[in-house]
Amino acid sequence: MAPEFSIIFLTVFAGAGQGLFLCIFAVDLLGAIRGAPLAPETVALAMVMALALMTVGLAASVFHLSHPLRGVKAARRYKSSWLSREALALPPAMGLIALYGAAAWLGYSVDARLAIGAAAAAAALYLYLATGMIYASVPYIKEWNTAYTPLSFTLIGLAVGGTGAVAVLEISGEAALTAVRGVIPLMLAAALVKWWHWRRNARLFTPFTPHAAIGVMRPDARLMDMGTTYQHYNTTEYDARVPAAAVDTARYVAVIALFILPLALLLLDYMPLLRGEGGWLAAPALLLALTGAVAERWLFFVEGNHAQNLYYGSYRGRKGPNPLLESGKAHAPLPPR
Amino acid sequence: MPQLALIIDLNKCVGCHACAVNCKSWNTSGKFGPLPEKTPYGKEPTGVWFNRVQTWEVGTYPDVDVLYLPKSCMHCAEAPCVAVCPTGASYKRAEDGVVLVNYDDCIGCKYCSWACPYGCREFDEADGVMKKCTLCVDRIYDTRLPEEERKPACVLACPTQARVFGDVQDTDSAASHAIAEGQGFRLMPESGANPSNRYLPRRKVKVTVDQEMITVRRAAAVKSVRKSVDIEEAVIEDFGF
Repeated sequence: MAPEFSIIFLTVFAGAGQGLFLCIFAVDLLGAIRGAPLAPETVALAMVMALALMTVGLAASVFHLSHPLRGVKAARRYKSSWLSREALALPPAMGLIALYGAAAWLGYSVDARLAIGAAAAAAALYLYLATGMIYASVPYIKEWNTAYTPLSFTLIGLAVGGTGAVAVLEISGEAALTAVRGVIPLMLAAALVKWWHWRRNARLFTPFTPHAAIGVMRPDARLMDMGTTYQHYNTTEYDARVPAAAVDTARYVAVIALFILPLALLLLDYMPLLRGEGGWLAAPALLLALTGAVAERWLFFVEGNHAQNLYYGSYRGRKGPNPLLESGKAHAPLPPR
Repeated sequence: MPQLALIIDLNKCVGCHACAVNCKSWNTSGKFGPLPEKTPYGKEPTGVWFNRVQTWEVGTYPDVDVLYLPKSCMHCAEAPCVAVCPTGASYKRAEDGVVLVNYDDCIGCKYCSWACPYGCREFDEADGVMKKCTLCVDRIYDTRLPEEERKPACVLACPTQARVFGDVQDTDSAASHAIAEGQGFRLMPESGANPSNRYLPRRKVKVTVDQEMITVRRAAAVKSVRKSVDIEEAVIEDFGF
């Protein structure tokens, strides 16, 4: 798939905004249980940050739509379309996050604030699921069609947003130790799931073959002319046309900027925080993580190999072994004549 | 439920692109607005075409075959593009099974094309909406046209009559008979979309020719050539050249 920066920014920034809110809410909730909830100003500042991140994502997504003003209609097919469900979940999630911040700013009781926060958390978690499922529910892009997709979208959003939450806590002089203790395992989990996802895609068995696509039961069919024009929407949209070196670079950037460096910075921060001093390394870690997440999402798009590419000569072929053949449930295909 | 579809005989298709050209001609000047082209006379033209005739080479030299594969929207029974459309702009008509896009509701998110395994949706950059084969829905019900012309433009253009149009659910239609007699198959059946368009597979055709047949045919051919030459000469004489 050709990487579409409007969607890349939407998923990265909206995911980070949701993650920032969820982590602040978790810290607030744990603090309230221990009898020391966050200062209202901190919550309000964090929610402004979260909403700013989500607004950046939303603004980017507008560039993806040719008719953003008709976007209201996108709520109609919620029964079958995850995109519709995302469009339906986004306004309540942002609204509830704004209410949570407003409740803190206006000095509502901690219980009332946390009740709104719980509703917002449910909406934000559902929004992660809906965003991930938009990609995971496409059966013709096998690289995406897996539970790893919504899982890694969620965990990366939580890890990046969590780094932002630590940054907000450090800036406003709150105790950031609990948050750091939560974000480090989140970061590790995100890295592990992403690694599994990449490993799965590297060994993926794709059931689509060119000869079944054109109905010729011989494996040696070659496309000579794809029909009528030199290029068109279905060749430019689905063929990434990026050099292999760029893919490798993106993977290095994703691993280093999204996982290794933020983890190192958070661990460096951990010592002064443990001594009760303030840290400041979470803010640069957030910027690095956002950059890494953009690289990771770019790679996610480039890796997507749509079955329709079989018709346009750009399908990247089969990588892994046939699980049916491995298990002895199917006969081996005859060699080409 | 009726299901209109195209049945394409791969034995008869000679790859002349007449169906694609007539499709473009009808649909770019039809009721749904033009289908834009970018640099149509340049080196690398791009544009919206609902129907594309692909050329495939099958086999290994010297045992090779050329296969022409005309490909347009399959009007799938379980159209995946319809289910994913967030606005309901993509829909499948209950009365004839044609999959259409309501251009006034389309927001241009392109999600339907991600869900199409056949790569048959074409994005119109000028209008910012997704377009696709309408099965010439603005022709096939037009009572002002003579009965035999109420067919999709591609079917009317095909010089070898490789295309049959009809209701594939009606067991007595010409389309159903063509599928049954020609062993019609679906492209990429593993897509699970249950496409309605069928293709009649290529068959090896053996013709035995004896010497007498060659003599008779040659005599007939020579005679017809003579005849046309005679006419030409007559015409030339008439004009006094």
